[in-house]
Amino acid sequence: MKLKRMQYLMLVVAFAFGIGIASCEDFLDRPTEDNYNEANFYQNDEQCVQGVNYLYNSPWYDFQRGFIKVGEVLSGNYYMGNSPYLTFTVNGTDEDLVNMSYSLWAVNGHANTVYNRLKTAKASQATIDACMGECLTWKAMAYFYLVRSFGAVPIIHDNTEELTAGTYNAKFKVAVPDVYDYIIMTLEKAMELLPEKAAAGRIDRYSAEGLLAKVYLTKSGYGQSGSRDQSDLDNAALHAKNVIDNSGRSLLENYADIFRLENNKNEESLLAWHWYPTRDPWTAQNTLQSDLGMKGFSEYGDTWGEWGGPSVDLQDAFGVDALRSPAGRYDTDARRKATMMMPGDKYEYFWQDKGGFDYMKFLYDPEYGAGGPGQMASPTGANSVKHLYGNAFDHEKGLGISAGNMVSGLSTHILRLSDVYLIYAEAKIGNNASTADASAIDAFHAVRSRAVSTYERPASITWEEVWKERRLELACEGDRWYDFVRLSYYNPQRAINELKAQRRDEYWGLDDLYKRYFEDGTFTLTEDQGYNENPQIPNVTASSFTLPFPTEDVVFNPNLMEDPVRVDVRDEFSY
Amino acid sequence: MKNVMMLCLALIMSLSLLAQQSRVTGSVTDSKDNSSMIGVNIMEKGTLNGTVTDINGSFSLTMTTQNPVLVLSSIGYQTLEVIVDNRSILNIVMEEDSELLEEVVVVGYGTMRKSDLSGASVSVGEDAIKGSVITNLDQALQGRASGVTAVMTSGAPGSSSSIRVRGQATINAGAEPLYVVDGVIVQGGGSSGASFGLGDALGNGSVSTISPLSTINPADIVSMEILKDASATAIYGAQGSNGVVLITTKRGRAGEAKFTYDGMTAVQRQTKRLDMMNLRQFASYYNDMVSTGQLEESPYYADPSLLGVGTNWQDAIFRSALQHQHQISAQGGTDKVQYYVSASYMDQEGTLIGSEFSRYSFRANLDAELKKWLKMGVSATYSATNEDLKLADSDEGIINYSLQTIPDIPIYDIDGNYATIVREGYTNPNPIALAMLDDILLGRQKLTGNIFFDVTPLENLTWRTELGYDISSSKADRYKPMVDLGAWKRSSNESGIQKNSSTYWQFKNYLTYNGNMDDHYFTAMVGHEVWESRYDFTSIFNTGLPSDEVHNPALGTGTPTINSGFGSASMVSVFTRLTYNYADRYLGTYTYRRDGSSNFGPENRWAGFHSFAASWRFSNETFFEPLLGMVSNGKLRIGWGQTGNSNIGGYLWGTRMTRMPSGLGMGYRPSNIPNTAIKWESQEQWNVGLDLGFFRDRVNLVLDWYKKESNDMLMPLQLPSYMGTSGNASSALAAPWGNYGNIENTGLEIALNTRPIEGNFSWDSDFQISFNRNKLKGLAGTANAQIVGYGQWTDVVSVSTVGEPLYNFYGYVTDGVYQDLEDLQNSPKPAKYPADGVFNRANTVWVGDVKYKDISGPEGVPDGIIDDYDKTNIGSPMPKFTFGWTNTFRYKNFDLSVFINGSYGNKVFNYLGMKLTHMNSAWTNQLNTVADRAILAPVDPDKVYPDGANWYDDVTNVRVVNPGTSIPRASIQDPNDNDRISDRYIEDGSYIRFKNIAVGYTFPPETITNWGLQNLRVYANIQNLWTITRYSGYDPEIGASTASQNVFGLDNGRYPSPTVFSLGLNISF
Repeated sequence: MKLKRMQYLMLVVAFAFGIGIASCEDFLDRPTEDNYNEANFYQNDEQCVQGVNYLYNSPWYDFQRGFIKVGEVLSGNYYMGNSPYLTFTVNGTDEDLVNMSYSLWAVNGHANTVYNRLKTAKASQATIDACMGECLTWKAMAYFYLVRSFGAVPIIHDNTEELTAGTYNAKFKVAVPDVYDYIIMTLEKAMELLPEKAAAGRIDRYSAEGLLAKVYLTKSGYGQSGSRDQSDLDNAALHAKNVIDNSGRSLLENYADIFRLENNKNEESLLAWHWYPTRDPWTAQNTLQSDLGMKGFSEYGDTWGEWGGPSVDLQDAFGVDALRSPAGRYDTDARRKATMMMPGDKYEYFWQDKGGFDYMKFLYDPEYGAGGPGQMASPTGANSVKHLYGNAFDHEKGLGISAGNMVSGLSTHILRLSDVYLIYAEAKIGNNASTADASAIDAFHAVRSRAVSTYERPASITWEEVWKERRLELACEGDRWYDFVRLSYYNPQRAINELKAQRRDEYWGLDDLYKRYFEDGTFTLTEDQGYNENPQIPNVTASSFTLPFPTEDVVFNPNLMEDPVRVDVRDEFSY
Repeated sequence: MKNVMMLCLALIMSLSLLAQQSRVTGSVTDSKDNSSMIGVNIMEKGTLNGTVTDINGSFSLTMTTQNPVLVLSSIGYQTLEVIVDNRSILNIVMEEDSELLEEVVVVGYGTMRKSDLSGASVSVGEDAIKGSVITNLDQALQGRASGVTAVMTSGAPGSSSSIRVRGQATINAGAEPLYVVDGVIVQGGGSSGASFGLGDALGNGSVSTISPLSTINPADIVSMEILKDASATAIYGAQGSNGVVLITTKRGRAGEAKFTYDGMTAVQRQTKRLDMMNLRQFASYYNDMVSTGQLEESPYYADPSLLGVGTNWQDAIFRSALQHQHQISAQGGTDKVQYYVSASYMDQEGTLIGSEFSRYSFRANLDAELKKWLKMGVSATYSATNEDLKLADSDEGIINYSLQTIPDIPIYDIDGNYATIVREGYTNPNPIALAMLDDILLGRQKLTGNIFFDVTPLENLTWRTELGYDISSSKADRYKPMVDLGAWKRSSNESGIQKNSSTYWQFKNYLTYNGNMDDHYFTAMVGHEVWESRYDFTSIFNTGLPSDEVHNPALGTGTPTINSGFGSASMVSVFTRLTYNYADRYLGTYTYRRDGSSNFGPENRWAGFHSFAASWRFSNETFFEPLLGMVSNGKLRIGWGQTGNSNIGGYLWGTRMTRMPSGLGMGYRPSNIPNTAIKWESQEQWNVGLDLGFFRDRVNLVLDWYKKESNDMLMPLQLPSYMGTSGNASSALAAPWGNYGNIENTGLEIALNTRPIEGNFSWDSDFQISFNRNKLKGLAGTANAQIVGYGQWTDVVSVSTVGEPLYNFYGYVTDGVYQDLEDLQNSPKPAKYPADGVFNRANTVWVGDVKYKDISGPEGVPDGIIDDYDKTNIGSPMPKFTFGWTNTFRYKNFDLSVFINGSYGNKVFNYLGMKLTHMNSAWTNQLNTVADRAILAPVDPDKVYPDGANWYDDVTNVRVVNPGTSIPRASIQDPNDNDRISDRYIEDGSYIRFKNIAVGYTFPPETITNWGLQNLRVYANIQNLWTITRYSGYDPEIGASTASQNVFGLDNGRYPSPTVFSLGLNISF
């Protein structure tokens, strides 16, 4: 009896143990279940394209603030009170600077990783090549920002290889000219891979070539004194011209249209961040409106930029003056209104559901401007226009999907055809004071006459004209600081002098002035109004053109504090 | 013994003169309390004739033999034989089985006599749990168990604790011990807010205030065993490396139903306030900045004497909060079937306005003897919790906001709406509005339990087969309503809901054989276990709901965001344990477990773990007999074992692709760098212990020394940011996880348990103290590999370097403030020292700025320059020791217990204090201590400046008036970065706390039996009455950071633990 029960028991035990062990390996093999993994992705053309789409937004996300603060506040185009970028007191621990570097390195890491994976993708060669070319162009763009911001930086050619070799904590910074060579080498490969023409908004061969022209132009002055390297200038001109002549792209007719949601993928834009309006996942979206838009501009309670605005100095450049009555203001340059809003301005493309956006009314009409600042908060008398999409209605109308708190899908254009036109003009002027070259004048004229309808084709153009035109054309697009860096390579004193001479500080008493103007139409300056009599002049020195490399990495790698090393990049690295 | 028993029986047997009859009646009572025993099995010896006692303990049985003998048996009692003689009425007393009375403790997959243990473990009994006002059972571990440090992450109701058994042995998120309730592994469902779908609402760290253990009702627990050393935890193999907490819930005992009611009501409050500037003080501070040319004059503050004290934001955000809890339980049963059922409800408001926690729970435990050889146990518990969560700490937390909000802003405007402020770009949301308007809600439900069968086919052989399960779901609800506070307007609301659900099952079988030959006793256990857990979630988020009445994202008018995901994990294990006992003198244990985990790739899926332990009970040796009068117990234990850790989440051996929509269409990103070779983290531990009992065990001393080394520690590879692995998690490339480090913990634990006074007045004392030294022994990579922790976003506050304890704070060392120009020129040069010698108070270092020490340079020696080389270790958050001391006094029916605990030698980073003393903004309030800042004055007040310049712009004419100060000048621009991470903010976090004082009165049985009660007790309890500490913040008890991993002891506005006054009542009938 007992024995029999025992036998049954043993059978059951054996059975129970058996179930568990027999199919154990299957039971334990659990790759990601609710999404693709790297092994089962990149299986067709569509997946390859999807695999590079995110290089157009997410890894760049953390750069957005640095983009404005370095590109525009530091360069004197934009006023932000108490910002260390305004006063040239940025530390290596500055949060926006650190985030900016995180982002640029993330772009490089992602581009390297996807580039390598695409080599073994199961898709048509044309698609694989195009996608790999996109990776390399973004990588080059990231390094271009890095070298212009931080000077010498380490070269991470292949993240996986660095990890495998265990060399990641022993990297040295690579000298600036070698980093430029590396960028050029990367773009050359990208051009080899990229198609002549790509889908709207995507990188094509001319995107890479336009960037290459800009890299050559920037590099041309490095380590030189007073003049620039002629072969680099020639290369810049050559590539710029090729883009101008052969890309099939042209400038949009109306300048302000470039920055509208409807034109996210416009043909003038050679390189752009294409955001998607969602918080989930975070980093898909554009959040620039939050930092730049005035409180109450959107419905989401997510804008706080009213205390800053395009600088007095930039207004001077556009020939407008916040201390003059808006009634008498005559805008010769259409780009002014598309860059900054000033009293008297109305925008039909913002707040379309409310019949357009009226700046003065927004500031002073408590009904219309409910939730707004209720005053002229900007100490420069102007607020940003670029990087704003408008309100919920505008977003829905422009893109067909809604915006949200710190969420928009407005593309950010970081290399435009007009930039390439001006690169060409500047490269042709080269080491001379001016040029009478017809093609250079054509290029310059095309850019300026679009914005200034009265502008006539000149007989010659000077470097100063191009220098200023770049500022007006690309104002608030995150680029101006790098013009100064480029200039500082061969003429630092000129760059220092210009920055120190800028009217970077604030106006006083604007609120009273405009409040009165809004209420009874009188515009009278009193002694309470004026430019700060005691403006802070930033302490700009030759070293100011290299931003402090974020210090946290030094704990991992003290070699970063050593002098940069020289590397023959074409010998050391290959694609 | 038996003879005594018989004598006893003889005495109480009634003397019956009646002639022999065939019928016998009688009753059975318990020797301990004379209570009637029901369900006692009564058999007439040698026959199948028998009966059981009824509900009154009475029986009647007709005899069938000559000279009948009754055999009485009941579980837990000694079997008794009674000769009937000629009696017809028998009153029989049964005694508890003293063999069973010897303390039995739960070990993994079984139980053991406590005296047989060779490993290190510690028990926390029901009394300790009852003695304090706790919401979560992990709170009961604080100071009660040697070798266990328990630090509450937050003072929020229902909040989690950071429990470390024998130090921090790993740095990944899974450093908490394994909790096993009645054999079922507790399923957390995540510890971060993000894992529940709350995004970053509770911070970005891997821990949050949400506690997986708060779903368990502590009142159902009868004991907790904390297995500490590897010989004890090795049976849990892969899951045991952080220690194991075995929790046993109450089970029924045979007898009439016994009902118990436990009720408690409490008031909680925050007793400490920081000394912030009031409005008048703030105005003076502001005006002082004006007088040194830093700010423009403000008409609001021109005459501070006209101002009131303004808003006290601390008083506004903290409140007196109520708490009450009720539990009713019933237990009882017969000899064959016992039950325990309970229902409880608790509700706890938080002392931070708006926070609340409530819980319902129900439990049913059933034990049944189905056959002589087959027993069954079933337990099931359901609980539901609801939490109103608030983000207290972190830069965006309510505490930070409230302290930094300047005092001239009212809470409400004249219309009774929340007021708010905007000053030159700095919008401080009204902290009260922030607390009250936005919802962060979490509801959780859980059904958990098990069913098991014990089969005893042969004597001494038991086969247990057990199925455990845990079915959980949660709903996280975030809502941001429309707001129109004048200066702060949000005209589009946001609503997001995420529902998570998970199922877990475990199936285990193990055979246990107990055998003995003469004095050789041995047990052998062999078993098999398999578990699987699955989870899934769906979320929906939308904006633009037409009104704030109903919080449902489906009502939104924007484009909804929908997300879902699912996944699973599994483990398969086999294990064995062999124990040997020779004559209760020599004891040995061997365990082995082999685990396979789905968290690892095919290459390294399986791992095996061994352990050995031996002990010598020298007090049982014959040569020891003369000493027994003094030393009543003595045991020496030694053990070694291996355990593992696989607690890292799934599929790190490959690359996950994650969705990332872009403006060009859907995108997919590789989210991590893979590591195909990832394998088990393993740990080896030595333990040497000594148990001593003196004076008939009135004094018990337990000493344990251990050394444990974690190898192949699972962690993300620490990479410099140029590897693309830093920044927003959804934008960076996650660094590979792998086996990258070694950590060593060594320590000593002492537990001293004494009964100094016995008798009418008695005093019991339990003292335990734990010393632990923690050292990072190695990190993969190069010599410069470091583990870095961040304060809030990107500022490095802690660096763990090889050879040092984990999580050392890292920064500059201060050396007073610069006194004057000469001091500036003669001191090491900081970054903002002007190369051209032209000082400017807004752009360069200035008199009154903090002087930092020149510690090192590129050559490893001081170089006269203050830069990154000068950052160094500025303190460890790890305590040198922690202790707890419980004293219980009893006099007649009164009892008093005083529980003191403390921590010594740990440093706290007062990150909140850093922001309350930075003095670089005119729109944030500061601590009153900034009045002691460096005050600047002209060296020569009479110096004339023809160009109208001011003395304070002339560096040659500025000096510090109060040279001894350590607080720098107030500077809006702060060019010298005076609020950089430095030892200014490192404070001593040692404390001694009167954690619990409880006084109770138990009514005498003779009084309450008249009222039909068995037990009646009332008590009062004060928790956290008094804390002795030098820490200047709210509360020195600061656990893991909720903002960043690898940071411990950083106070960024941690929700302080409240003082709790409670009254309770316990009735049973």
